[in-house]
Amino acid sequence: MAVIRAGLLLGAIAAASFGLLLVALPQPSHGDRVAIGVLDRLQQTRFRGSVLRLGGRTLPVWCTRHHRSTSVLELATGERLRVRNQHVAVVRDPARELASDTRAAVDLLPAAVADLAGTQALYVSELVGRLLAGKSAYAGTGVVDGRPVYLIRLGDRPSVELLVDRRTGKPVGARFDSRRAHGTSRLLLTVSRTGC
Amino acid sequence: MNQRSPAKTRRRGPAPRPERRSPLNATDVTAVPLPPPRRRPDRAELARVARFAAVGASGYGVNLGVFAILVHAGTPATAAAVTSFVAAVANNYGWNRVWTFRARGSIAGQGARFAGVSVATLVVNLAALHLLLAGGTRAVPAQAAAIVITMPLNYLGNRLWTFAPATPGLRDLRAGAYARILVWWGLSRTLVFATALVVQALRWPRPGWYVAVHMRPLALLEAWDGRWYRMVAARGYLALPHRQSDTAFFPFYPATVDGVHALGVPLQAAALLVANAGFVLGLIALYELARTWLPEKTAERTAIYAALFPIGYVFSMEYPEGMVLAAVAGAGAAAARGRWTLAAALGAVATLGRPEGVFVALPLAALALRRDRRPVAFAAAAAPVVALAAVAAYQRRMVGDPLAFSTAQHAWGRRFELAGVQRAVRELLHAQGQNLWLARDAAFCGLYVVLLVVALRAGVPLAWIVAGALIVLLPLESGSFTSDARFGLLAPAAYAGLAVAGRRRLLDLALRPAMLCLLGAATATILLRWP
Repeated sequence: MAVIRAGLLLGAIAAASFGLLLVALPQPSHGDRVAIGVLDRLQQTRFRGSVLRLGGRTLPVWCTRHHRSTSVLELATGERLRVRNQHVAVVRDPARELASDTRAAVDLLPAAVADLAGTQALYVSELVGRLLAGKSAYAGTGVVDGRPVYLIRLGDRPSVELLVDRRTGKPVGARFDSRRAHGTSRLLLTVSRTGC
Repeated sequence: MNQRSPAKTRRRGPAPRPERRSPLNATDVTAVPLPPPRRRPDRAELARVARFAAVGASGYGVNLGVFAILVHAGTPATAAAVTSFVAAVANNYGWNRVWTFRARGSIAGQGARFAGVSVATLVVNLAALHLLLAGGTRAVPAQAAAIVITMPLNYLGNRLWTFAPATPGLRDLRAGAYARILVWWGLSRTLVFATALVVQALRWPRPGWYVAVHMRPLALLEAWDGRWYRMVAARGYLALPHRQSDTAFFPFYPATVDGVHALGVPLQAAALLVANAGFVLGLIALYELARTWLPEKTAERTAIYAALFPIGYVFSMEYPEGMVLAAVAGAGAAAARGRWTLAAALGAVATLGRPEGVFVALPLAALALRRDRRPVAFAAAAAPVVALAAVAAYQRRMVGDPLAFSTAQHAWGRRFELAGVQRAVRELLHAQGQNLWLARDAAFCGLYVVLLVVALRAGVPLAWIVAGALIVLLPLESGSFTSDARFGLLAPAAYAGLAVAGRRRLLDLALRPAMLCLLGAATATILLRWP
C-alpha cells in the first residue's frame, strides 16, 4: 500500500508539473511558429543574387559571401555594395564610375538594394532581431506569380518583407517600401558555397 | 481592558469534572482500545470564533466601503481592490490581536505572518475579481463576491497559523528571528532598489541603454536574462534554431510571472514582484532549513547573510533565483520534519525553476535513507528528477527537442564535456585581468568551496555539501566560470558556512556592513558587463 501511495505521489508530481506548464505558459502563436520555420529554412539557404525592380529599373544583382558575416553585392551596372551584419556600405571604385542617374539611385538606397538582393545573413539577422525584440514577424499570406506565399516582416521603417513559398518553405522574393522608394525582387537560390 | 484571571474564570464556570475513567480497571488498559472521548466545543473557542467573525465583518465593511469610495473617485478596480484590501488587513490585524486572540509576543513577527496570509488571500481576491469582471459583473458586486470567497481563507490562515497556540518561547524565538530577517531583507532590498534607481537616473555606465526613470523605473533590474524570462512569459517558448534561445530558461518563473500579469499587473512589475517575493520566502525557508543543522542564532545569521550576500542583487532582478532558493530550502526543511509530500512538491518546483534545483534530490534521498525508509520518502527524493523529465517532455512537445534547454546553451558557448574544466581554466588564464567579471566569478567559485568546507566542519549534512558543490562546480564542465557566482546562490550550505564563519561578534559586526557595501557596488556595476 505504501509503495502504491509513493507511486501515486510521483505520478501526481509528474502530471502536475507537465499540466502546470501546459496550462500556465502561453503557447507561441501560429505566426511565431511560421516565422521560426522560415528562420530554420533560411539558415540552410544560399542565394546567388536576385533580379530587383527599384526606382523604375530592373537590375540583376549578384551576391558573393566573402566572410561569415560579410557579403558583397554587385549590380549589373558595376556598382558594388558591402553588407556586414546589418550595415551596408557602397564600395567606391573610381575606375568604374557609373552614369549619374544609376549612381544616384544606388547611392540613395543602398539599404533597399541590400534588402532586395538576397543577402541571407542580412535576412537572418533582421528576422532574429525582430523575434528577440518580441515583435511579430508574420504578416499574413499572399500570392506572388500564382504561388501562395507567407509574408515575413523583417523591418517596419522602411517596410521590408520576405516572401516565402508556402509549399516548399523557400524564400522566393522580397519587398521594400519606404517614402522614397518602392522595390521588389525575385530571389535566385543556389547550392553553391560561394552564394550568400 | 478588563481581562479576567484564569482563577476567576474557573470559579465562574462549571465545577471541574472528575477525570474521565475507563470502565476497565488499570490493569486492563491494553486490552481493548476505547474510542476517544468526544470533545465538546469549548465555550471560549466559540466566543473566539464569534469575535473573529465580528472582526471579519468589520473588515468586510472597511474593504467594501474603501473600495466603493475609491471606485467612485475614479480609481481603477484592481488598484482600488488592493488599497481596500490593505485597509481591511490593518483593521483585522489590530482587532484580532487586541480583541479576538488577546495575543502577546512580537508584533512584527505576528504581523509578518498575518501579512503573509493576507498576501496569499489578496492573490485569490484579485484572481476572483478579475474573473468576475471578465464575466461582465460590475465592479462593486464583483468585489463583494470576491471578498466572500476570500474571507474564509483569511480566517483559516490566521486562525491556524498566525494566532495558533504554540509552545511558548520557541514561538516567540521564531517570530523574533523572522522579524529580524525581514528587517535585513528590507534593508538590503532598499539598498538594491535605491542603487538601481540612482544608477538609472545618472545613466551610468551606458547612457544609451536606459529609458527614463519615470517611464520604467528599475530598468537596471530587468537587464541580462530578465529579457528572456519576460519573453517566455509573454509568448511561450519559440526556440530559435542554432541561436541563443529562450528554451535555456526554465519555465516555472515565467509561468508565475504570466499568472501575476494576468491579474492586471504590468509584465515588468510582475517579474520584479515575483522575484522579490520569492526571495522573502527563500530567506524564511533558509532559516527553517538551517535550524535543522545549526544552533538557533547561527541559523538566523544564515538567512541574514543570504539577504546581504554581495551577489544577492540577482535575487531582486528578473531571475528565478529567489523562488528556487525558497523551494530548495523549503523542500529540505519539510523533509527534515518528515513532511514528505510537501518536500516532493517543493523539490519539483525547484527543478521547474532552475536546472540546479534537481540537486535537492541528493539531500532528500540521504534523509530518506537515514531517517525514514518509507517509500513516500524515496518518492519525494525522486520528485525533482520527475519534474526535470516533465520539463523535457514539455519542451519536446513545444519545440520538438526534449533537451532543448541544454541544446540552447551551445549558442552561449556552453557545452558539457570531459575537458570542460580545462577549458574554463584556460579561458580564465587567457583573460589575464582583462575580464574582471570572469575573475570575479572564479573568485566566488573558490569562496563557495571554502564556505562549503566550513559548513561541513560545522556539522551541515554531507549530502547538502555535495549538492552545493555540484551546483558550484558542475557548470565548470561546460567550459567557463561565467555566471558561477550566480549559480552558487542556490547552495544553502554555503550561506550556513558563512554564518558559521561569522559567529564571532566582531567579525559579524564587520561582515554585515562590508557585505552591504559590496551589494551596493555590485548592483551599481550590473551594466559594466554587457548581457
